[in-house]
Amino acid sequence: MIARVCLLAVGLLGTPAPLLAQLTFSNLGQTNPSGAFLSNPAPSTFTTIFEGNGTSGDASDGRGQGFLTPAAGSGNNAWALSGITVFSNGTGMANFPASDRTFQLSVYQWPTSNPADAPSVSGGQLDGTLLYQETVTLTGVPSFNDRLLFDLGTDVFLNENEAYGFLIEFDPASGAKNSEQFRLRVSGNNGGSFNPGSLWRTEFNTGAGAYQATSNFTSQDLGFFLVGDAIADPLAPTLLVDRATGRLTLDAQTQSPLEIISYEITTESGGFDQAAWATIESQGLDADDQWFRFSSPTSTTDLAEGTLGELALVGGAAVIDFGQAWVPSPFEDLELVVQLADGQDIAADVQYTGMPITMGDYTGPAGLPDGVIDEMDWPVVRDNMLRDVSMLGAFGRYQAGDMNGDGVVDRFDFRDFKLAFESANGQGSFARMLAGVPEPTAVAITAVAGMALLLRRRALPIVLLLFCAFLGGQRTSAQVIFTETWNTGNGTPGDWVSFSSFSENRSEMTGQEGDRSRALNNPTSTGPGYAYNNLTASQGLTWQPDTRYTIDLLVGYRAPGFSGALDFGLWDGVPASPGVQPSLGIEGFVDVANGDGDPNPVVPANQFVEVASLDDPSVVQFSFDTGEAAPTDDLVVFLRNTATDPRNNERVYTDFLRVNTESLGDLLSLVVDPVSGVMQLRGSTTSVKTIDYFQVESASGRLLTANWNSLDDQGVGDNGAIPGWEEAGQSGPFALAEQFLRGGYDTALNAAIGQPLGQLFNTSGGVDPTEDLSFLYTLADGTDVQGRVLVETIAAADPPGDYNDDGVVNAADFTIWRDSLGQSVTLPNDSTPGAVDAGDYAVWRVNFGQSAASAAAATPEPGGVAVLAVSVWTLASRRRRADTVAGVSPE
Amino acid sequence: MTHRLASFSLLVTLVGSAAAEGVVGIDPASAVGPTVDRWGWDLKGNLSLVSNASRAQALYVDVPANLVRIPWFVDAHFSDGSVNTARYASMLTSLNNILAVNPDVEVFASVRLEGGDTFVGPPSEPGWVTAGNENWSFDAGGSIFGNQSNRPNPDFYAQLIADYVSFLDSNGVSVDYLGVNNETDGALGVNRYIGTVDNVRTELTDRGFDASAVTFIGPDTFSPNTAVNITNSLASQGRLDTAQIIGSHGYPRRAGHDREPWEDMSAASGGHDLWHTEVHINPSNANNGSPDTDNIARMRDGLGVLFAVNKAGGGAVDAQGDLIGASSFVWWQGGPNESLIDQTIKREVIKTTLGASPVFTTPDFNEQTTNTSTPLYQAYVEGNEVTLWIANPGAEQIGLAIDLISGRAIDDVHSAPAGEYWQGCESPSGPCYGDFGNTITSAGVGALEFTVESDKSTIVIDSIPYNSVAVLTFDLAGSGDLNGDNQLTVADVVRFQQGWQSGSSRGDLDFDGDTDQTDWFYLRAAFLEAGQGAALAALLTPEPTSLAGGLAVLGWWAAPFWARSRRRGR
Repeated sequence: MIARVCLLAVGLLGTPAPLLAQLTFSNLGQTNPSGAFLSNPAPSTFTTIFEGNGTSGDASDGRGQGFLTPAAGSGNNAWALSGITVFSNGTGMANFPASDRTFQLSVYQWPTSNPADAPSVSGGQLDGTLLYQETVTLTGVPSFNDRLLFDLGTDVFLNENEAYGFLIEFDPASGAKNSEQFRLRVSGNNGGSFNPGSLWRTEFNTGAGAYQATSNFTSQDLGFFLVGDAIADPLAPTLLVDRATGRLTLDAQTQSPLEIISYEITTESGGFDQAAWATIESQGLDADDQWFRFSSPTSTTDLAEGTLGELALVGGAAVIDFGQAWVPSPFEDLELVVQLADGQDIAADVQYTGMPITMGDYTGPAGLPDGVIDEMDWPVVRDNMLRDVSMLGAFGRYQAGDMNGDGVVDRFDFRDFKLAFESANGQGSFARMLAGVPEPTAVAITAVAGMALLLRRRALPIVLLLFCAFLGGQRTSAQVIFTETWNTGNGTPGDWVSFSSFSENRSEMTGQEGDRSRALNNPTSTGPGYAYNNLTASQGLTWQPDTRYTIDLLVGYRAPGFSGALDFGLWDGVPASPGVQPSLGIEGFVDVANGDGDPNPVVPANQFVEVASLDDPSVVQFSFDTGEAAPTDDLVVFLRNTATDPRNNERVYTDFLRVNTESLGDLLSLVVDPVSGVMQLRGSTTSVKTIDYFQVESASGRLLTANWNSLDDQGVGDNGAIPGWEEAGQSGPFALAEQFLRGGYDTALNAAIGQPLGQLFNTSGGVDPTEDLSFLYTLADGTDVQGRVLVETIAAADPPGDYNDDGVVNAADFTIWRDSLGQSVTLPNDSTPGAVDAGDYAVWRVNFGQSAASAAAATPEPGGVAVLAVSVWTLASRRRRADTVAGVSPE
Repeated sequence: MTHRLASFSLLVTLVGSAAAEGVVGIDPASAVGPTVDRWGWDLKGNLSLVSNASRAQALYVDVPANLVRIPWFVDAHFSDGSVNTARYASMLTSLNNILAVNPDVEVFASVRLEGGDTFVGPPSEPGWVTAGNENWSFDAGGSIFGNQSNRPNPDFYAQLIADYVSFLDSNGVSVDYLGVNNETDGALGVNRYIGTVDNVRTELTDRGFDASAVTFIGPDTFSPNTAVNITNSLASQGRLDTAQIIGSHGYPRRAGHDREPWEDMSAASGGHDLWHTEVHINPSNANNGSPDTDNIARMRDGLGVLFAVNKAGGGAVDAQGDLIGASSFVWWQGGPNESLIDQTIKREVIKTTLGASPVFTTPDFNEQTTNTSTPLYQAYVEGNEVTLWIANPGAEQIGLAIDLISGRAIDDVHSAPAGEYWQGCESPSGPCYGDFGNTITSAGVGALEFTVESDKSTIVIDSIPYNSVAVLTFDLAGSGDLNGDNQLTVADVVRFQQGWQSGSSRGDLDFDGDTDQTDWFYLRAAFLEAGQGAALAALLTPEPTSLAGGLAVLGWWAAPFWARSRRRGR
């Protein structure tokens, strides 16, 4: 029987991208020379602005144009061009005569902005204003892929939204250009003659009286590259942002007097505190005019104000202190636009002062980031663990502990914080810090009220995420039973070839289509393309009982996108024929006719990879469990392209395939008593597992956390004052979790982990715990593992204080305590192991009269009352319902 | 920012000495003439003008004309009421084509002028229309453009017209307007005109038509001054009811065909609507002996008469309180040929003026100037859209500044000014494009390039080429009356704030769907223009909640032309 199915795309989670001012080159669409405009050049990097591809032979060859458009709010609206590189991708310039290695570089500002308005070369000049011209003589012969960087004598300033033309002419000074071709030889010749396999050849056309590029070039050989630095608009004021205080200051002192009528400061991430915003109106900076606040009082992204008059920024009045309106954070995306009375909008140059704020540095003694990641920061993450913050902006998510900004505060954020902390403070510092961290109730929770409810409503998507986001490497206990890597070719049923080598090389999927891996089409004429490999027949592999099968597959698709899904998974039989399979008419896995009469599918239907939502390429993973009895049919890996686009050109590519198996007994288990609802964690039957996180989720919100006798409560893993396990601050009916803070926790081998967790599961209504619950734990190396949920009867534990272990706390136990007082022994049912002391008496007194039955049903006190589990395991099959996988959240 | 309408590779060549930088002033808020209600094409000159569906599409859909002028032929009608239908076959085809694509087109019928033979009947009974009877004696003393003409008998002529209306009705065409004169006033005369109109009404009523549904356009003369005289005569007899609309023709390059008589027509009629029923724009050709370089000057002259008649009162109002000037027009001759400048201009004029009003534009022009190099400028406004017509028969104008006396132009991605020109000749000595400089070639047409200054009140056109006609269109920002109460008050500022805070278009003055700093610029400009400005702002109470009790009225600034309205397709 199949127990669980889980699909995911690896690599969907990320960290906030750095927010940098960027420049963008925009392609105007001119095709000759070919516009090869790339975006977002960073200073000191090369960016092709065009390549001279002389295919038409007209005079436009060898020229290019580009708009420079700094990203809004970067404060930059110009580009200081300091060098141009000519790139040769041919065989060099062996045929370029040494006597003719002079060329002239010209940069023009074009007279129009219309890309179709291609200026013609006349007299060696382009139309427009000549900005720069220099004659250069090559001193050597460039080799293949050489980039010849020519430093300009002076920087050339290129403004945004203005077009520039670039022209190179060879041998401009010889004057003898009749029939003479000057070229950069970059590719082979033709019959020994000096054939244009080279590009960008210009010659003097006597009839036209002008330089003209000639024709018959066949490949791209030359490219221009710009290098330079973004510069600020010399008219732009400066917005100073103090990282330490959040103070915003407009400084226009160095500019010409500006008469402003409005301003707007924005941050997309949302980190403004309007309460601290000192407006022009509130400060009375404009004695003559009323200033109106535009921004919504609740906006955290916008600070804007305007007047029907104007405010002159001149001299000392050119500095405006807007107060500490920015909440310091790592998100530095502020922009300021001041609007002048004459209608100009000027973007300020935004400058941040002080030390950059590190991710994880949430707060300090003054309530602001203090430059250190310490014990004051940890509760922000801890107390928000399992909180849904997806409704918040980037800043709000971060402030709520969502370090990676994925909309939920979870184990990944815990790990990110731990990493950030130890990176800042040294190995082991995190654990040492924890001893001094106050309990949640003593720490202000930064997230807004009501989020717990939202978490409840969004519980299932979180479940999926947590279950399926296998970000780590291969589990050590997993066994790879099959791998295969394809190089090229289309998938044809039954023709897969096994490769001895295995390579998880995603770069193989980034090349051109012809270089990609196995392709599956979906032609309308023949139906969905599919392929399979009968591993039973080809590898001698057969199904195993109580085994988890996991498939990793590298998937890509043909640009520009893919609208359908890719079925893949293990099959229980060979398709009846290699042609069209009528029974595959629906998405998902179905039991094909294999002649054994078994109507049950190996894998539930409607499981498939939504390729359309994946990056290209992505590794997808699919897993499911077999039951006590292994299927007897062949083990077949099956792929099918179910693209839905009627264009009939959607193609999906697959590369390496890997099939892992893992014994279910190797997994940790969550044992649930179906009658009492008591839960108990249990270690692997085969090896000690070192974990630092676990979570239990209930699809229908049946977790009774009020009854939770957590490992934290039990003091499991504590080391003196340093806590071991800690509860996730936002645990609730739909999910609970604990994280182990001191490195990793070694689970017991084939034994209970700590005491029972209490009567955690609400058994009312006869709900099958295996249908409702899921259990995940994380190995110390960060690998998430889907654990098993088992239903067994858990015998009631003897209550604490039952020192004679007879199932009831009575006077006899007092006797045992009294006789042992002062001894360094651990009594039976001793919740405070170690020396027998007054604490043990207190436990006895509190539990006096308790029996094993009453203890199982009792609500443990937060201080931690331990019970001993005596477990009797009965294996039960289980299977996760499809609707829970699909994210349906019962209310 | 530089703009272009379309992609053209032409780079304008500087020819001769360019004109010094000029300034054109436009006050979009000051209408100087009535809104143009109707534009029509004329089948009189070419019954087959709309001979097929594509022509109908071109002239009545692509160009939103809403009127057609058709003729009746006196010699096609017999005394027994029968009609020589062959004479109307082509016309009916054209009409059916027009009404098929645009059923709302109105029909304006008038007599076909045939010189001295205009009122001669069909060959079998050539004199029946002018024969005498007990009411009207035979009178041979009429004259049409120097040709002797018998005067039509109003009894018989009215019968003929009624027969014509019945004939059209039987062919599915209803006549909306009748012009019984059409330059035949020398034969018809005032009294017979009145008699004819009266009889037509009676005949139509007797035949079951609703005579009141037909509007009579008179005097519909060749000369505007003659129209004035006849209108005065009708007024003196108390019979202005026979000329419910005062119409006249008007020609360029002809003395007396200027704007003044139209003011007189309005005054004499007591404020009747004025129609220019035959607008001429005559390209240079072999018949008129003009050189090629005269073509654009002829375009200028034709446009000059048109625009002058439309704004005849210069902003004055008539007895009805309406702006004085002709409000409906009919082009003489057709305009489907896209390769000719004059016909292209006709189409573009309809597109840009129908539904629009002429607004105060400086410098004004002399519609009957004899100077063939004098430029002409006239702006029209519809809703928030401004169109400036420029006829520049003389030297190239470089850096022509268009100053907005009121309002501000929108200049952004979603709404940017655009313009185009059509050039006749490259230079005074040629070469010219096609025959007589009236042929549109790729080298002679292009997009205007211009710069909108940051204050959005000045648009500088880089170049108006020599010997060209150009048209520039742009949108005006909203008036600032965001709450629509015809006032500029702090309530409008509050409305702006609401738009900003809600991310909505409540404060949208550049019609791009949002409320942002650009809109604030326009709002502030509106306040400043209304004479409020900074002092006003200082007095305002900033908090919206405190404004409800009594909003200070800071200035009336209802701007009927600026209210955002539908835009015709181009």
